[in-house]
Formats: sequence, C-alpha cells, structure tokens
Amino acid sequence: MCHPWLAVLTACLVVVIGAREFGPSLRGSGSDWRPADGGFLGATLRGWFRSRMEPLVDLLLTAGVSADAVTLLQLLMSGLCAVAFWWGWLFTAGWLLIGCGSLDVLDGAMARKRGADGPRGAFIDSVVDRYAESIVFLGLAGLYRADWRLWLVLAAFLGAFMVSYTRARAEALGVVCHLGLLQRPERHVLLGFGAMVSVLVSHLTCGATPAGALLVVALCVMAALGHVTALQRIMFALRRFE
Amino acid sequence: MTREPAEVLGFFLVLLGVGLILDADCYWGGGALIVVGGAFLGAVHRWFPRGC
Repeated sequence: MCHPWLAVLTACLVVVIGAREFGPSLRGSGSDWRPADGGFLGATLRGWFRSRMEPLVDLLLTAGVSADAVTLLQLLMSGLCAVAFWWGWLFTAGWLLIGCGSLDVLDGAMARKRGADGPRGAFIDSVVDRYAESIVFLGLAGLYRADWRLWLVLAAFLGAFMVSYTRARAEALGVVCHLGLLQRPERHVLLGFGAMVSVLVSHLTCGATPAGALLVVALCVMAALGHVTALQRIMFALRRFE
Repeated sequence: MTREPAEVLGFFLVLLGVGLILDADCYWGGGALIVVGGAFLGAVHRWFPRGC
C-alpha cells in the first residue's frame, strides 16, 4: 500500500526544518564556504551538525554515560540497520544509518569534552567503525543477494574499505592523511539519505518508481567516489614520501 | 548555538515512526504512536520555562 500524502508531509517537514536550521548557517558563512578536507559535505554543514549534537553531548555526560558505551551503541544500531536493509525496510535502515553517524560524532565529542580522548579511545572507535560499516554492507548484500546489484554493493564496500585502509597505513608510516571527497560522514549521509529518499519517491509515485531505485544510484556514486577518495589519499601519501 | 536535546530526539523519533509506516504497513499503529510521541517531545519543551 502506498502513502503519497505521508511521503509529501515527510518531505515538507524535512525541507522546512532543513531550511530553518541550515539557512542561517549558510547566510552567515556567505562566500566563506569551503570543503572540510575536501569532503563534499563541507565545513559549514559539518559544523552545523556538531553544534546540533552539542546539547546531546551535555545531556549524556550529565547522565553519566561513557563515550565507550555510545560507541558500542553505534555497533548495535548498525546491526539493526543491517537487519532493516536485509528485510528491505529501506527508510528505517537509512534512519538507523543516520543515527549511527550521529552516534559516531557524539562519542568523539563526549571523549573530548571529558578530556578522555587518547589512543585507547581512538583505537576502539576506529575498530568499531570498521565493524559497523562492514555489518551495514552485509545487510545490503543480503538485500541484493540474488541479482547484479550485489556487485555494486561489493564495489562500494571495497571503496569504503580502501578509504579507511589508505589513511590508517599512511598514518602508521607518519603521514597524516584525512583528505578526500567521500569520508565516513559523507558515506553515512549518501547511503542513509539515498535509502530514505528512495522510499519517499516510491510512495510519492505509488510504486511507479521501484523502492530501491535511488539507493542503487547512491551505491553507484559511493562505489565511484570511494575509489576516487582512495586514489586521492594514495597520491597525497606518495607525494609526502618522496 | 545551544539547542534543546528534546528537539533533536523528537525529530529523529518522528522520522522513525514515519519509516515504520512506510516500510512495514502492518505496524502503522505503532509508527503513528511514535510520530505523535516524537512530535510531542520535540515541541513540548517550548511550552515550559528552561530547566523544567
């Protein structure tokens, strides 16, 4: 059963809240907009999102929640996201993925605010992030296990893996390397919103557009930009080693 | 720019409820309850003074 009116209302709600929230930040930044280390979201949008998460950081710290607990919650949420993808619940999966990205921002901010940011926390965060991302791709692989889109999921996964690996290897060899078009926040936004908008469009057109059409487009972009980002990092590191 | 956490949580809950209705039609009642709860949580803090 399709729900075009609910899809219209949801789209309007997101557009109105987005304009109300992000409009002043855009006007304030004016022509000063610049990308954050080359990521396509840009420094302004990232800064706005961090400022929006700030009250939650205070709330969780006041409640005595640790950054490690939030990191583990992120892992649990990505497991639920994988299950939702596997079942074909794309809007819910996209929502859970955006939630995972938010928790990823929260745990780092909490550790910094508490003065507990160090190698231990950074290591746990990185390892959990890799597991969380892999689990989500596993869910997508389950969704598309019977057709050609499985190859697209694998290409996107390989791109995401190489983006992380090139940074980790370069930093192990002494080169700080966190540039690139498609970093982790960008991947969360692209895949999460891709899945959610895909379902909204499908309900708006009452099934004339398949539910996963835009998600496949998002996966194509992820697969391409992931490898472009890995190449950007490889070239950057090679120049530093010369 | 400091904002109320309730607004953020409320917005996320509304989207979760909408997702349940759109993805799993048979759970529309639960989804609708979550939407109403999220909207209430997101808006209710405006009716009370800070600290309440």
